[in-house]
Amino acid sequence: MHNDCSDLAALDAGDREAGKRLYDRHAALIFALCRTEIGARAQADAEDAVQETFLRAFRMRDRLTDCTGFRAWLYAIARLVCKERRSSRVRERRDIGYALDASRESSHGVAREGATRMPPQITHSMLERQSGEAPTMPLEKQEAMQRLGRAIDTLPEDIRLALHLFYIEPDPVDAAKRALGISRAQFYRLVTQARQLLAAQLSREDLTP
Amino acid sequence: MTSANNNNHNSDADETPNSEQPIRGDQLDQLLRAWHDNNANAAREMRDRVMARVEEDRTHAAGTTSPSVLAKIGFGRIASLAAMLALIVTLATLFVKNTEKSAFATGGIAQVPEGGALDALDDDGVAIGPCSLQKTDVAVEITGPFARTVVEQTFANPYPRTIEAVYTFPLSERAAVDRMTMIVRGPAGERIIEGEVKERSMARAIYEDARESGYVASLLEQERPNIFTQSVANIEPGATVIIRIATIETVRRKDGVSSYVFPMVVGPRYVPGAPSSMPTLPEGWSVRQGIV
Repeated sequence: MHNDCSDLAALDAGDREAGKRLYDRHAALIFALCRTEIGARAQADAEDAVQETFLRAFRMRDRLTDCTGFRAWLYAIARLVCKERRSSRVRERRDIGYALDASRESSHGVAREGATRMPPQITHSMLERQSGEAPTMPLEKQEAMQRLGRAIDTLPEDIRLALHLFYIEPDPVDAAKRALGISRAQFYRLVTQARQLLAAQLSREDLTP
Repeated sequence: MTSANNNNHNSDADETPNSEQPIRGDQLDQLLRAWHDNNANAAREMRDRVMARVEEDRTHAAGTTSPSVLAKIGFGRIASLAAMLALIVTLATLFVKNTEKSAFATGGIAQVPEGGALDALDDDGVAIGPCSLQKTDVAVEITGPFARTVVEQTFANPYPRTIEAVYTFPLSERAAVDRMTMIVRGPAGERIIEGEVKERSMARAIYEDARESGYVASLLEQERPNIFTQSVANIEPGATVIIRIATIETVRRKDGVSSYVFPMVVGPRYVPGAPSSMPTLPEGWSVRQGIV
């Protein structure tokens, strides 16, 4: 039976499979923690955050003295990485907004076509092709997922972590005890709060699941 | 999975809730499970990529001086921060003061700068090698809190056939591209294409159609906040390609000091997929790596 301690020891001894087991055990929660519905790069941002978290964890492996605390330690790194990325994204969006405003004022519109204008039939054939494409997930479901993601983004951090643990971990109470240091009753209180907050927001947003 | 708390919602609600009705507990539960399953699947799918990057990082770290050794002799984090600060200050000084830098290739040397490269592809989209960089011009105009940067790079097609090429170049994470112009000077004369901002998938479809129809076309895509790629199709042998990109951004301001940095390196990032083979250059050409 593998656990964090045995896998960390195996990883130190050069066993690459142990690293994969550690990843499988914890990546889903980190992905959920770092995923936000801001912009079109949500998936790529979450992927980068997971990668950055594991890179930092394995780089600083020497600093972890108690292997039983690996889960909490990894989550702490993930929260830091997510926080950094969110701050960076907010700054980036604000600055791009300023820059685009300035650009519009200075150039009176930026979309111009020059000497080799595309023939209209190309645009038309492209539009036909676009309209015929079938999305991988029904549009209604995609929109519902995005609304849910945005609602999850607004949850306080401890409530959000409890919610993710509830839906991802096979033993969420034990995971919450290790990650948040809370009792079973406290954990379920947080999960209930999370669901109530989400239910209130989603009904306001006209969710159609 | 324990689920002791999903039974206190409106069990008598209508089957198809609308905006006036709260979402039912079981509907929310179903949606939450689906959301988490999607994320878990996404995390699983990228496992090999992430672990390969981690392994690469570990291998790289093993080949360099151990940070713990530096820490033991009094360096570590302070030395790293000091070195980074010195590097940033040096680069910022260089780039802000010298906004009219040019670089030229020497005959027979195909320069492949970190600051921007034009890679030629064959008809099947397979990389056949770099195009030679002939010149780079950067002009920066700072007005109040805004900086307008115009980058112009000139490449030549050294291959004895018509090629498609992909131009990769770094931009500041703070910059927004607002204008792109491509000039192709070939045996048939000069052609100028000015870019038009489109939604990404639509732009890609227009480009594919134009390329298949034999038009000279280019496509600029933002890959990451700080990396752009631009595809250029139907470049004749011996043609010169001039790519001009204008961006606008806000200058960075901290503690009363404004700074502007022009990026000249495409930051390394792990990209999944099989390693590419060494490019094959035309006879008499060789690859040179270096900052322009």
